[in-house]
Amino acid sequence: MSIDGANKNGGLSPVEEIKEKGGYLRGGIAAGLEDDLTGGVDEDDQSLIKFHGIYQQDDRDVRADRAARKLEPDYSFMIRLRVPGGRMTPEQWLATDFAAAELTEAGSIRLTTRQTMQFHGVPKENLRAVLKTCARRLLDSIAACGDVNRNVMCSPHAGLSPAHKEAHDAARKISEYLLPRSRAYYEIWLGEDKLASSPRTAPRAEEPLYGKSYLPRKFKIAVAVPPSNDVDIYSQDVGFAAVVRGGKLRGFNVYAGGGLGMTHGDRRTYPRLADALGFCAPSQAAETAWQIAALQRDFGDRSDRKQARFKYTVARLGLDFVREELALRLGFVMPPPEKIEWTGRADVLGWRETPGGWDLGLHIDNGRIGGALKDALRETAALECCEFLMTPNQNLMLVGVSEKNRARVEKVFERRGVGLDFSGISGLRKNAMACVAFPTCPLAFAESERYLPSLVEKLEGELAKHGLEKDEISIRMTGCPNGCARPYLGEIGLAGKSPGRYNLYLGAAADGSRLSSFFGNNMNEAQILAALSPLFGEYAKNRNAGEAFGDFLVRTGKARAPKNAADFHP
Amino acid sequence: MLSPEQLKAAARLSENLDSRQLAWLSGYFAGLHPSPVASAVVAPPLSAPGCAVVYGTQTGNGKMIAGQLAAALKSRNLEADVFSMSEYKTARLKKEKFLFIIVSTHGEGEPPDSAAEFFEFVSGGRAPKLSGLSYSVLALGDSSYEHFCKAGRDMDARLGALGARRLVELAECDLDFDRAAEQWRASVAEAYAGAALVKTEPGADIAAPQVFDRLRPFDAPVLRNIALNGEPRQTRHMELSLEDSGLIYRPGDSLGVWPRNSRALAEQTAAALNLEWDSEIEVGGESAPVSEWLLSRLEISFLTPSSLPRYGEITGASVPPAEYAEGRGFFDLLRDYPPREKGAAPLQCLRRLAPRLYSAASSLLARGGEAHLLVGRDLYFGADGRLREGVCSSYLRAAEEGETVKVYVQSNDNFRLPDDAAAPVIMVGPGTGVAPFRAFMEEREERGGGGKNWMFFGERRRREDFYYQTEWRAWQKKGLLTRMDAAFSRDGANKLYVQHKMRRRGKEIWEWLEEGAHVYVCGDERAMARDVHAELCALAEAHGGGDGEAFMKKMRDEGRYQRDVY
Repeated sequence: MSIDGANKNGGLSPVEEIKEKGGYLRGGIAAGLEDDLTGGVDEDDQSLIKFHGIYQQDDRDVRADRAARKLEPDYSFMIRLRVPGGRMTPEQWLATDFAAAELTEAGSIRLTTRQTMQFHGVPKENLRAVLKTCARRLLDSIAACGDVNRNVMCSPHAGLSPAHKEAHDAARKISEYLLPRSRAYYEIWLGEDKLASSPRTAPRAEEPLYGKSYLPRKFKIAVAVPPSNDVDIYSQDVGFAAVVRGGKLRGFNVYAGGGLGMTHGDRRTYPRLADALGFCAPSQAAETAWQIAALQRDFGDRSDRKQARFKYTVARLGLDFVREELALRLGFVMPPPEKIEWTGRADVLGWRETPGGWDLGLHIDNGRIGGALKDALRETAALECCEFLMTPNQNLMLVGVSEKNRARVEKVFERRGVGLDFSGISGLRKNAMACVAFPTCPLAFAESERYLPSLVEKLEGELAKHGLEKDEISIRMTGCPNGCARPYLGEIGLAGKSPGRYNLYLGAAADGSRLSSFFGNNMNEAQILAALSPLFGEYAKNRNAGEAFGDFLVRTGKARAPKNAADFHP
Repeated sequence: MLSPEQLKAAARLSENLDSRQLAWLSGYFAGLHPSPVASAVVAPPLSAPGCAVVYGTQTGNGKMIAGQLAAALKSRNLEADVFSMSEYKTARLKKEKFLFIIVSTHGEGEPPDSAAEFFEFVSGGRAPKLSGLSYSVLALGDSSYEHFCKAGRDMDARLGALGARRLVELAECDLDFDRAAEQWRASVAEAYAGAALVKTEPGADIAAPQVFDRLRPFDAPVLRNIALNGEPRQTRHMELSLEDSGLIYRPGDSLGVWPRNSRALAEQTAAALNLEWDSEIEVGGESAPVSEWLLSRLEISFLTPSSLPRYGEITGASVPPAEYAEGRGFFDLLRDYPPREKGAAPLQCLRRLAPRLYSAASSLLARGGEAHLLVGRDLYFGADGRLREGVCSSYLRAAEEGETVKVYVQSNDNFRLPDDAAAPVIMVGPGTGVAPFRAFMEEREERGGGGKNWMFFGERRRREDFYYQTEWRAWQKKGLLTRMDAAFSRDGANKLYVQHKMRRRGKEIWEWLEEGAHVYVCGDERAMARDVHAELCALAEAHGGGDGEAFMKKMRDEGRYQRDVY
């Protein structure tokens, strides 16, 4: 099969044509930026700018009103950065803080579930300024969205051990290795001159992995350092789990074919956990990732975007085929995976001493950083005393603070009135995660980030009745079924159906190794509370020692453990 | 009288018409040709030397008065030739025996664009001696401006200086010109009839069909009234129903709207004068209830300088200097300089409430029985520092769906799409000046013809103030709108206006002009149209060589450069 546009069913999906015509991610983006009659860009270019880490969005709260006033939707853009492993220097943090404050309408920074950050409400006129500001600190947004390898995740505790550091190096290497080679980003956003030899005449040279059609769909890679599965390795297209023996990184167990997105009522779509393929050495990780992506490039479904994720390719071709094909491409057969153990996914909050100094884990509600918290972080960054590390739980860690600087950091937070004692936060709130949804996400059916905090507060009331305030129970909400906040791996999962209505999923494993299953359809808040309250009661009364909520529900038959992926739907 | 074919055609034409439309058509046909009835009954004027009625108009009021004068003369069996100043052959002037001129004043005392050439000729050295001429001038103006009726005054003085005889004194008309114009028409008809030594009898009174016009406006239901942008600007898009009115407008025409004063202000004023709301009072020889005078007949919202001395004469109150009128209303005057005696008398100093004109923002062809208006909010600071709003903009802003608004059609032949539907068109209309161009686009979309269209728009911010943005975008997508440039002055670091956008596109504009493009400019005269004119002259010079002013004058003479500015 050819690199560019392999397809088994005939017609390509429209996005495939846009990619192919786009001239390696250029399209009409540059001209669209000059069009001052609209705050948006052309429809085709909306697909292409995603590859540059940019989404066109609009304030859905005012859409109907503006239409009546004969105005186009209130367009603005979301920029998502590429930050492998979520690690940023203080200088980089200061640059993003500035960009958010001065160049966006939201004025805030939004941490994501993939260890990066988003700027919301960037007017078209400011896009270049934001990206230039970031580029000066060696940050970019290349491939943070689009049908390419997205931001590579890595268990965030970089300062914890040498193995952690090596894992982060691997994540960064994979990210660089799978980066699109097109110069479009530099030309369009940073003003680089187009090379004299047009890339259109030398496609292979421009994009050796992706070709002109890139991947059939988004592609996600994470590196985990057990026993923490904070990156949710089973939800990734490709996962690398560090095998550490005697404090040394021996290699990685390789997982493939995970992914959470699905469509309500479409049984052909489902969340799927990744399968273990085998084991590879640290030096083989990047090449392995490349070849798996190439396999998906060649075998993925390019006619139907709802069937285009790698998980469906794996399900369709079978694991044996994938292993064989991969061995051919890699030139070696992977040995079987090594034994590893998972314990959980939560972040450690508050101060913790590590070999590299003090780490400070900050709980951040839904990853939204604004107001006094943003000020405190900016002032901390100005101290240049620590690394900034975004976690897969949308939290932030300050890493490598010396004893002396610890006091200075504490003073900054105290002056800004931002508390560092997280002991009062309930176990549920600590493990709560929501996607952005309304008003900017075009896919949202229901509220998420704006609503979850108030639902959690009500659930905390129910939990308190049973003395469960401190128990770590994960709750994850998304405004649609696509799975940004990984809801089907939450012990309590909620996926939006329509305003105020959610499907309820229960019973995922606390360590992320088991999917939840469908529990209730189209529920409003009262129904959600009424469903969960008695379950909390039974959990408090009948659980085994140390038994997690999700495990309890499955053991007692309150929730089903889905036998296979297609078993997920009601 | 009619051939069978003609009868059939007439029958076909009258199919599906209601009585009002039929009446309108009969009036229309009657106006097409001098009535054979009238000329048959009344003997033709034997010795009448004939007269010319020449008007210079921007909004169409002058044309209307000229038509009415001609009708008044006709009813006395006197013939009159009616010309607009732009079509009047100045070579005729020295042969003319009777000349009646109607002209309005704009900006800093200038005549309308279409009258510029006529004025130039008359005031210049080539003007002939006019000792054989009798004339009268009616000047239209707005007494809230410094150069009230200046164009008319200048013309009146100049004709006198050239030796012509003033048959009737100059009539200076304010916005509420109806009564003054009527008096002038009567005086002119009387004097002309006498001077021409023609014995005349009034012509047979032809029953006029019911037509809605300035003095008999149509009560148009409000279908929709929305703010296109946010507070405090609140530029409004209004959709009015003209269903069953028989009113016909063309792109470029305006709708006249009769405003009403705010009820609160009217009641305050009545209270200040001790007037009973429902009692009948007489003002200027007419009787009507106090409520009607104060709500819909008299201009009470703001004062004109000339009303102050009149107020002093009537009331015996001490009178403030003319500057006092600036930013103040009648109620302020009553409070600050109370009349010696209360009652209806002080109302005599006020001018009549006059209709305001709004360019039709829709095409009748595209919108069936609707007319759309784009109404800017007329905000100004009063003398007390408080923000006040113009009477008509505040009246229309409050007009709710289902209520009616009194309207009529004011035609404007000086602002017409090219007859050739394939001719390119360049439209310059920032702010609410965009209104007629929406009508142009709708009309061209309906009619087809393939002419290119280029719109220059400007406002403060794209996000809020891009009037009809989705429609312009749709026309762009369809290819009907070939190009569009917009200057949003508050979006960038530098204040950018339409003329700056035009400068950037100078070469392309020139290419369009060479292809025969027609240029239209609508909007604020002082703040925009002058700069745009200068820019057009400059680009003609830069790309065509030669004198830019001369080029634009040629464009104007060819009807390819038309402006509707205010």
